[in-house]
Amino acid sequence: MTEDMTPLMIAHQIWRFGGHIAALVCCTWAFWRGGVHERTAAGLIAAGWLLSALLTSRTGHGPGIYVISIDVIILLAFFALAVWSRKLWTFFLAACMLNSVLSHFTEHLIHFERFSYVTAIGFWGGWATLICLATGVNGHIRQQKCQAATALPA
Amino acid sequence: MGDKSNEVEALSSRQRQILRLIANHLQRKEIARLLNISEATVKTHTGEARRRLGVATSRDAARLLVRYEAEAVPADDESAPDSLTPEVAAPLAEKLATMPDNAMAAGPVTPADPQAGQDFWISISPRLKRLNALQCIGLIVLMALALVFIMVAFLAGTAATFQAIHTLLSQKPLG
Repeated sequence: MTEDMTPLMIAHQIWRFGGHIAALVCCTWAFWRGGVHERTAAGLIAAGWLLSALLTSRTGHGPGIYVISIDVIILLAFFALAVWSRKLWTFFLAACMLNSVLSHFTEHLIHFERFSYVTAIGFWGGWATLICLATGVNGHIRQQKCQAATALPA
Repeated sequence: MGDKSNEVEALSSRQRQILRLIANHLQRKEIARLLNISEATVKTHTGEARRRLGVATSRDAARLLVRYEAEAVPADDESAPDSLTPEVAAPLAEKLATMPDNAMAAGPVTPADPQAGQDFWISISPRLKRLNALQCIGLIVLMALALVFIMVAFLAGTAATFQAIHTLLSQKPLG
């Protein structure tokens, strides 16, 4: 980090790299402890995250058409996951991703401030989806513990 | 089934517990973690259960136990009213009288549940399963809107709070 970085830029870097670390931790946790739905969601999030990082446009005019396309595909996959699993957290996951995709299109229509756009995308498509995934994994673990408790001998 | 009842009765409580978890589609690794035992111990228990029941796989053993217990429970229930003592029956009748009419429709009554707070989340899952695909998508759109409103309200509240603090701090002292 250079000395001329403003507090806002430092916060942005923490937000960005913290997001990468949180994604790695949440996806690993989901693959390790989650059920089939949690692992599917983790796979989708990890794939979307990696592809977005690789295909982001560096021209300074937003993330670019590839990232928007990836987000739309991931959104459709989350819709399918919600319909398949019928778990509440997958509905929230799809809702957050929908907000992320809508933020892309809203920016193209209204052209709001670039920093707000990146923050909105990072929140809905990044942090919020990770929170949903973590909630899902936690619920799965608790459900398994309940199953173990009910299987106890009388 | 009658031929196997003696074999099922011969299972230890730990073997039954593990077979019930297998019936719930848990893997050996997950069972070991939940019961705080090693995978090898789980394997030993399932192997012994298979041997006692005379079946080839753990799934077959689990299926056999579940079927046996499902058939055994109603038989116990039929005999239960005759075996209830007045000391047990009186509080039970009192509890049943205070229960709401729809309580029985909600499912079996479980004893003091330490995770009663989860009831709301558990009750949502069957409701979600009743929705068709279009209703699911509609619900997701509504949830997205609700999340946006909550986020906007939160940000507006936070901004107003910071503004108020800033105004208070920047006020010049009187006099």
